[in-house]
Amino acid sequence: AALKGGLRFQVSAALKEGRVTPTELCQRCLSLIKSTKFLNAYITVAEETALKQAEESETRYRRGQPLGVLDGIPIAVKDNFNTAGIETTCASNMLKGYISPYNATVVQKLLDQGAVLLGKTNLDEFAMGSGSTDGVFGPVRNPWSYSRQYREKSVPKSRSEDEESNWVITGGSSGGSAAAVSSFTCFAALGSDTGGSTRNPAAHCGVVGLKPTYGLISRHGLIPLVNSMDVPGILTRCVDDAAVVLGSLAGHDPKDSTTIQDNFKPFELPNLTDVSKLSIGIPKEYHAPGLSSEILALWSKAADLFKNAGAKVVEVSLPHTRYSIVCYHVLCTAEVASNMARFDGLEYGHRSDMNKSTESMYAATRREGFNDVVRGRILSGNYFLLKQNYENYFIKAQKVRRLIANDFVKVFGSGVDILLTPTTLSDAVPYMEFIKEDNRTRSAQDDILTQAANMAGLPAINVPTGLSERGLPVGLQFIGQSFQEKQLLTVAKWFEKQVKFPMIQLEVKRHDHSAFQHQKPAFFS
Amino acid sequence: QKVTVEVLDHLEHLALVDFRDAEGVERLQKAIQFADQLHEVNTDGVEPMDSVLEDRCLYLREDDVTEGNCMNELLKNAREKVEEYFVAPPGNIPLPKLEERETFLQGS
Repeated sequence: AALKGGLRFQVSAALKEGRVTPTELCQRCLSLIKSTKFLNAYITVAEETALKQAEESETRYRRGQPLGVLDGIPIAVKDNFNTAGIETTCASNMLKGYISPYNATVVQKLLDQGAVLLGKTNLDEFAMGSGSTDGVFGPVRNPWSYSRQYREKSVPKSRSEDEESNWVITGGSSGGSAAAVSSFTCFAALGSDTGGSTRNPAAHCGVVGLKPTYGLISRHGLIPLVNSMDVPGILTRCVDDAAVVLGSLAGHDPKDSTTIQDNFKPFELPNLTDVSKLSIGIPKEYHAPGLSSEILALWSKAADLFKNAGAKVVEVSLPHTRYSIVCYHVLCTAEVASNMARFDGLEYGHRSDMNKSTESMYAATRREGFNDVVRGRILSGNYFLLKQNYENYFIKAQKVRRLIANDFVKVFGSGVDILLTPTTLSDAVPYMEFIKEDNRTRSAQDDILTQAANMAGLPAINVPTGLSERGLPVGLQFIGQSFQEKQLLTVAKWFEKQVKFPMIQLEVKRHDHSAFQHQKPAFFS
Repeated sequence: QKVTVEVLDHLEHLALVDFRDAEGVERLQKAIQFADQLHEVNTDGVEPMDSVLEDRCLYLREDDVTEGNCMNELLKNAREKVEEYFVAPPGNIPLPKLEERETFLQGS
């Protein structure tokens, strides 16, 4: 029950009161990871170190000295964060076997709070993609593919046909983290968000996905994609949990000079009852081509929800919205071209046997290490950065970026507090359908609603809202003002309470169910 | 407006990754076409934006050594090393010209 309960406050209370121990919790999660292996959510499961961390946490609880709310809580981390002593692959051949010599700041912070690191989750290679389908360890399966809700709505087929051809994607690129949280194998997971990579899979997997303001959380140790847009993302089962994790991660890091120096105070979310002073903006351009009628209806219903509760709901305009995906495409590939240059085989990662010259070794290493998607972006990025193109593409995109950011400034300046938009164009598509289009096309389609927030550096959150006709999760997105996470999360929490998103009814055979029940820790008599 | 073989070759040199096949080149063509939409936007008088934090001062640490001495840790991840050195093949040898390289572009 503690496992399914989901709410960290429930679990933390249970740990404090001794109703469940950190090792029991850890073992149950590890067992569930084994039972849900077919989801392919985890690349590495750090079983030994996790159990050790759980034991240490248990000692603290018995002494009555837990480090905080996160002490003993099992978490998972996307495999593009450095984790000391644990392989960090970015789902690429380039980093297979790479054992990080250090912890990313956000990982260190979680460990310092006593969190138990269960493992590293699967993603698109180097976080490039919107499906979590393009990594070298294979695609991640959406846990909802195996839910009663989805199965009830599927056209009855033979069981094996069902499972093998009907499963849907998680979205991406933090699909592994979203699937891990959604399938109860951990209480919170770290993702990253450059164009929507935390919010997109959160929407498809029915979990909360928070993209914090750029500069609030340290990127030190997060293998960079786009330095001016990347942020660590937080995935949890409810908004309160996201606030707790945010509280432990946010704040200036001397090792990341792009973190702001303002003092950050962790906050508890108030239970908002009166929304009459709130102004919600509905950006009309987010009614994008391809938006499913279901999601449109849900978005409209949500707007009405706020209106009926007394909030001011206004239509607003972000005129440059349709160019943000193009702008992103240029800036992203340009920064990627630069960031991927470090992978040359000399100091870490894959190294080719080619030995004739440094350049040929680099070229061969990169040829062998990167997949098509990564190479494609590097080449495109280099094209836009060529002397003859720099002004026309790169600088041009930077100018358009300012226009996009200014659109938001104008809207927030006109009295709007929070924006309400869809997160994705549709519910999760079956894998077989998703792979019919190439990665770049998919990313361009799927990022459309999420990446303007990255362009402007604004905080945004996906809140699971309802189930589609196919029985799959659909989420809505709230975009807030810079560094106003408390307001953003407070509104998100109110909304979450109103919509009462259903719990997933996962139909999975438990691994070794009998075995763990007999595993009582020796010192409990 | 197709990208010339010279530019493609130049890109392979700069990026040190190869196009591998016609699909790779096609991908670039499509990417450029996609990016061309930017030119529809009027950006007269607009300054380029490097960072959303442009109004703030970047934090600079004090120039004090607070960590390091982790040579062994760092060398662990390198494949070729000798004592404290990462070993690289001979440098200053440019990639062979298009005609002499093993690249898909040769067929173009």
